[in-house]
Amino acid sequence: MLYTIIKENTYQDSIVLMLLSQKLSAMDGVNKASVMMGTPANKDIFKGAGLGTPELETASANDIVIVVDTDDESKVDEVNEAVDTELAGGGGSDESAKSSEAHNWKRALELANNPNLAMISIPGTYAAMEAENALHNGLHVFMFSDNVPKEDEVRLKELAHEKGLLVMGPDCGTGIIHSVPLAFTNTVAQGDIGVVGASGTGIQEVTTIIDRLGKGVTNAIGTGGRDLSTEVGAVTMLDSIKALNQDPKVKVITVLSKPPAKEVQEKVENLLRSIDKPVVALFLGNKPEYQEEEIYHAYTLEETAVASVQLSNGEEVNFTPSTLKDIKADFTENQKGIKGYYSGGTLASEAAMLIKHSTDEEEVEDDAFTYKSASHEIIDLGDDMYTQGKPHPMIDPEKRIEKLETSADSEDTAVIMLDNVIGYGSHADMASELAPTIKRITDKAASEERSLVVLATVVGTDKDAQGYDKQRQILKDAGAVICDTNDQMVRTAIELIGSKVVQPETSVKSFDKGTEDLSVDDKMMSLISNNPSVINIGLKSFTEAVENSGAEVVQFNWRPVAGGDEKLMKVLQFLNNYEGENV
Amino acid sequence: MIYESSAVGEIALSLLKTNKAMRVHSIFNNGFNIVNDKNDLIFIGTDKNGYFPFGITINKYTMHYIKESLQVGDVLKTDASAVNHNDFMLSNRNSEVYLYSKVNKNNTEAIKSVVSGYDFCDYNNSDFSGEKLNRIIADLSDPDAEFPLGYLVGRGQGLTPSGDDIITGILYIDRLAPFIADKHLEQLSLYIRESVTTIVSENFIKLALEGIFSRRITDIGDSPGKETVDALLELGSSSGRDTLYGIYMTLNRR
Repeated sequence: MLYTIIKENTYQDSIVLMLLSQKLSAMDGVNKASVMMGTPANKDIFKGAGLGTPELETASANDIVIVVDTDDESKVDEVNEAVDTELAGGGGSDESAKSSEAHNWKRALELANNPNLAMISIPGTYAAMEAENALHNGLHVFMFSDNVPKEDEVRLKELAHEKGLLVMGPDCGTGIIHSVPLAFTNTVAQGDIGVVGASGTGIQEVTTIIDRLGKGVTNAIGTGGRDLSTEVGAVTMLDSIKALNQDPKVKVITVLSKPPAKEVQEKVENLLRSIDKPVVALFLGNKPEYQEEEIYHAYTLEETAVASVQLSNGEEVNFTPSTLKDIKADFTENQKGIKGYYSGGTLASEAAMLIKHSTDEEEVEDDAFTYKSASHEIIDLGDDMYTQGKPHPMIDPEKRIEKLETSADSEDTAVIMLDNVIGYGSHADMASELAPTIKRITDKAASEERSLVVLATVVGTDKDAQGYDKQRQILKDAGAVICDTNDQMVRTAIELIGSKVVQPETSVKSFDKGTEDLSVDDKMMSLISNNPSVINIGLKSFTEAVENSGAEVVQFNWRPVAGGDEKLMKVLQFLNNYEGENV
Repeated sequence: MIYESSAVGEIALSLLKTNKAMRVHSIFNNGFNIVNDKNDLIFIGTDKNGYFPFGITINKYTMHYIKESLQVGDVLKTDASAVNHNDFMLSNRNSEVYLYSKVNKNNTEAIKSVVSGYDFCDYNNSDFSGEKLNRIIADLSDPDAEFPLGYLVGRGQGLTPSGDDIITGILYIDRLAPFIADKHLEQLSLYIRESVTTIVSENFIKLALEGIFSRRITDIGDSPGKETVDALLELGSSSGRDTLYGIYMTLNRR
């Protein structure tokens, strides 16, 4: 008996269809099966092979047609399933493990099991509206989206604070909530160090160093880069510090940010002085001038990590910076330049700070550079200026390859520095993408009997899918000198050109104990003490990390309502959230 | 997110200019097709399969990201400078416009000698045996023969059925040294509009009839050699080889 299955407007290339025909014909109980596009010529082939059916005639040239000859009708369902699996991208994928998907809030809330966190990565124009919906539904918010207006950020964070909820972001690239990695994040061991940070790669560098030193981080809360601005007033950072303070599993609290506005820094420090747990604080870019009894002020990211580990071990903080010594280089008189091409913005800022503090060249103002002087240049290739229309350099090696080649040929270049940030969201094997260029430029320099040192550092842990040791080895084999941290890399570069980074000398100062109210909403404690149940709105790839760590996630395939008409969307948003007085 | 394309084919550009919206027709690993109401098609994808006059080229990282938010049936708003989706914008502002090159008619003998070094005898066990093709190609110069290409159109596996790729190869050689009776070319042009093959194939043949071919094909005429022929062979899962078979059989016709 012949059965016909038609998949309308479906395509696959010929190899897939041929393999599928073979697979179906080999199934037990199937006498014969054929799969082809439903063109008139192919219909003739079906008929010629004794597989002509009346249904076949209804198929169009753009449909895939499957005709099965079997005596067992139940086989047809089996065939249909096999076809669907193959057309959906091949067998082997475990469909049952796929997270459930929704197209609106109602369905997403139904599918999710007591959801408490919304991850938002849709375009910025719409992100604020959905964040507000999430807050109204009682969910904390992790906003990966950027281009969200500052006034929206202020409004959302105030609303969240009132409701006892947290808004991480906007433009929040990294977060770990109860060991569940969110967005661009490394897999880090659990532990008693709690991190709050206004910088994505800063959090990645600090948490991975902590992991490699044998300790762990269970919660690393990203606040978004503007949280410490005067307008936002560090709402997220303050609430996060209070939550980590109340968590009995947290022994040390680590806070990192770029130097904030003075009144905001005072607000944060006043809170830090109100709590009893030891604190490590890094306002990257400043030279710390003093230490406090309960607060260690760090200068670099590595120092922040080391201090956190030592405090968690109950030891005194004692940080000695390191550099690599046995690098052979014989630079010419012109070769004075350090060139750093970063994918991590905070790592670039750290390099800029160390170079500025330890070399005597005058800084040239130029927006395209994190730091620029006559000989040196540090570029954050993840900056908006370089990513417009291009994927982030953690995913796309193109821009860095270009920079490597041009800087290697430049007469004044002595040292080139690179970071390779691995973990969720990053390229599957960035080291192999960069390696051929590193090899080419170092080989070329060697053949011209010219010294050129390429330094590289890998930000990651041995639990990251890319393999920490493997990535280091690939870069090393290509001719790069591998540094353990960005701190070590930049200090080594500076020593290679004959200068040295001096650690800031600090005095000990004491302040009155702060008087901040330390109470925290239960919803905050619940967020950091349990696996989150996530509704993911936007980029589907973010669900993978959440699922891999055993947390629940529902994919919300978001489409703008009202055909994307912003004005109309806002009216609908207002009506949906309108609570009339006479209800 | 805003992404950028690196190259835009001349035909794609004129379609973007004249259509306000197009919809996603089909999605593959290396690219996707969008079509207008008249089934005119633009292929947006990586350069894995070369440059197409109706193609927009993006890099594989962009494709990886675009694929995440794309579904068949999605409507894209289009203008000359960009393709807009709800979740992303693909900007053509900085991309190079790929002008299709006219076929180079000076190297036909050289093409013949390179292509003759390849073996196609496995086709004899298929619907496209040498004997069958020889008859079709011979009939093409006879205006009284019954539409010889009817057998090939839409026949075979895949997105561009093998028979259609063979036709593209035949039409390419006809451009270099015309031999097909006008009547058959006119009939082919009418016939393919009758939903007798996939939309993608229909577009390839429509352009081939106007003398427009993908770069992998014109490259062979520009610099006949092993390198350009091998590059064509790599196209698609069998499309390149089917096209080359059409070229081979036409050049060696009796």
